[in-house]
Amino acid sequence: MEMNKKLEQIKNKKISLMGHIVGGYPDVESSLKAAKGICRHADFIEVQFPFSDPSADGKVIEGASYKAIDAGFTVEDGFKIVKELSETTEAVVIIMTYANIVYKYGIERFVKKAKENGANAFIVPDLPYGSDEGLSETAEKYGIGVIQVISPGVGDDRIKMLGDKSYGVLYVTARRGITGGKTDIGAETEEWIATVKRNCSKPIALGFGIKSNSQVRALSGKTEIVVAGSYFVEKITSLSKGSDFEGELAKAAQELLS
Amino acid sequence: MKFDADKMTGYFGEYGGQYIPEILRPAITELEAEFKKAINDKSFLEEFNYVLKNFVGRPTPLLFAENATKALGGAQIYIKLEGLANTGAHKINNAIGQALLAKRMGKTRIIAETGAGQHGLATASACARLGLDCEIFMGEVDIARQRPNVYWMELFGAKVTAVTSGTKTLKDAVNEAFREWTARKSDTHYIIGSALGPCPYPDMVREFQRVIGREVKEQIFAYGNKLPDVLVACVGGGSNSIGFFADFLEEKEVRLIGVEAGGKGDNPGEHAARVAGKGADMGIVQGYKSLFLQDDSGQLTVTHSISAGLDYAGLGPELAYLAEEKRIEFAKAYDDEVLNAVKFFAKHEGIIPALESSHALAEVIKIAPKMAKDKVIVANMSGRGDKDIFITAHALGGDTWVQFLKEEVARYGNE
Ligand SMILES: Cc1ncc(COP(=O)(O)O)c(C=O)c1O
Repeated sequence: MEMNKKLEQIKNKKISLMGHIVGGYPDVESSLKAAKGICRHADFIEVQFPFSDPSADGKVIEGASYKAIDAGFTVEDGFKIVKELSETTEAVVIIMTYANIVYKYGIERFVKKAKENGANAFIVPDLPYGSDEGLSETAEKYGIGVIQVISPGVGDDRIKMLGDKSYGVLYVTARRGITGGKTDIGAETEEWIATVKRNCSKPIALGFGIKSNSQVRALSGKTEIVVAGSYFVEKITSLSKGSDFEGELAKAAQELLS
Repeated sequence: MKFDADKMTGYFGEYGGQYIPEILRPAITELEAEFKKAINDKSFLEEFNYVLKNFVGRPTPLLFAENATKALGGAQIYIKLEGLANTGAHKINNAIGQALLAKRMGKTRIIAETGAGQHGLATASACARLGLDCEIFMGEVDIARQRPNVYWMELFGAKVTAVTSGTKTLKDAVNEAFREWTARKSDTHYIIGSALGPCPYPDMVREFQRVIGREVKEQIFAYGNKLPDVLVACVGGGSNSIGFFADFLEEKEVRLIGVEAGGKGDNPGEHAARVAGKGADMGIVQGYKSLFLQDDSGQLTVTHSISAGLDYAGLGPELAYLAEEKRIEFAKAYDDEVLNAVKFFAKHEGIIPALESSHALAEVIKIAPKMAKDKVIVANMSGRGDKDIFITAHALGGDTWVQFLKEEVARYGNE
């Protein structure tokens, strides 16, 4: 679904879910089914195009990325997953990856292909605003955009600027560090959210270490969107070949929101 | 050419840049500002030079390799014995520079990646000397092949963390150090060990390594020579080569040759030669834009080299730029040529060059005989080869070494 339409749709929702899977993990078909399952409850879905050197990711997503690459994942497989999700679900489909995957494919070619296949936004942590090789400009030209990511420690001015530039929502990591691990939603998190809110009027998607419904409940009313990645990837890892990936992941998404 | 910190852009032509996740921005911005100040600060430079002299042991000698010159029958060969610096390689120059900078910024903890273990060793030593906590990330494969250095790092009080992800070598150690840096509060500085990574690292590492070439210039004149005709250095990420070449870049008549790891052969995965070999393309990885060995999808490819320090998929951005500009020529040396160079220079000159440095010396063996006798080549022996004993003794010492190891293990068994 188109970003702005979705933001209108979730306006009165207490909290929305952004799910995250690694494309091609454990194989293209299963990752697609898993994503479809998540999308029964999620308003946004991030499809990570795996990279050999995912330096912003923790063990879980890193490991899944290697397995997907070893299994022969190609960028075209990623677009296939994106297309299917955009045609069969109501979620905003976001491509998450690293600079080199986009750069090697060619920025404009990548954006064009993403748009054609129904992707609505990009998250590329190592193509920061200001040296993104023209990614945001190109995306804008095609009517889609780049979601900016910020983390604790970033100054107010930079939050303002990135909030302004970010497409639709601002992605906020709940803590420092990498994906996975655990995040306690406490006073510190709330203070950080408040800082972001003071400097950015867009809805925020809070992620990193979201793994339980109690965390989601604690965030309800404080942030518009929660992001869960390692949680879903771990779930996928626990399933054996031939499992009902769609049903199991739908259940996992539902549990998170319960 | 003198470096002007105020004009630093982080770009060398198209190469370089600062491709970092937002989470690293505060740390990198702070580092950039402090480096610009420090490199123009007399008291910082005095302290740096003091430590280089009294702890590192600078200047390192420039040896006229008379026997090798005679044996090869061509150009006169000089060797910069950078491996005689404390901890056995050029890596200490940069480690000291950055550790002093970290102290200036009030940091109490240092992290670093290492391949051959030389940068880890240098960093651990600098931290012991300067009173900083230290954690070194090292790929599991490299730990196995450079075990002596692991032991020394631990003796210096560093924590050595094995990296088990990806190819379990240098690039994965860099990833892991970045992960750790993003997780830490502001107490930690990451000392990158080569002239790569996001701005300001390539400039900073070159400036801390520039002393190598500066000394060579004085020393070669002191021998009564004019400017040398050729300089040769090995190129992993590019720190010893850029430090060796920097003061000669403007001297257009001096040929500069960088030697990459030719490995076992020319197929993908068999080498780590980004310019002199096949399989590299422009990419953006680990914070900078440069040449990386990669496949059609942009995944970095597996590399191989007999030397852990040259076994890296990327090339420092300034080196990539100078290759494009044709200011630096690139060559490669295969594993067997490298071992042969170790043997040759040990026998003729009484030195034990590191496997990394022996790539440069292998090139000397190739080019010297073809040059006239009044020509001068200077090669950089970036490190000494003590650390390689388990590789060289196995490859060159054969059965007696294996027998010794077996007996040694048996002795432990009896304890
Ligand atoms: C002795 C020695 N020489 C050279 C290198 C290669 O690195 P660089 O190209 O940064 O000098 C290493 C790296 O570990 C090394 O230990």
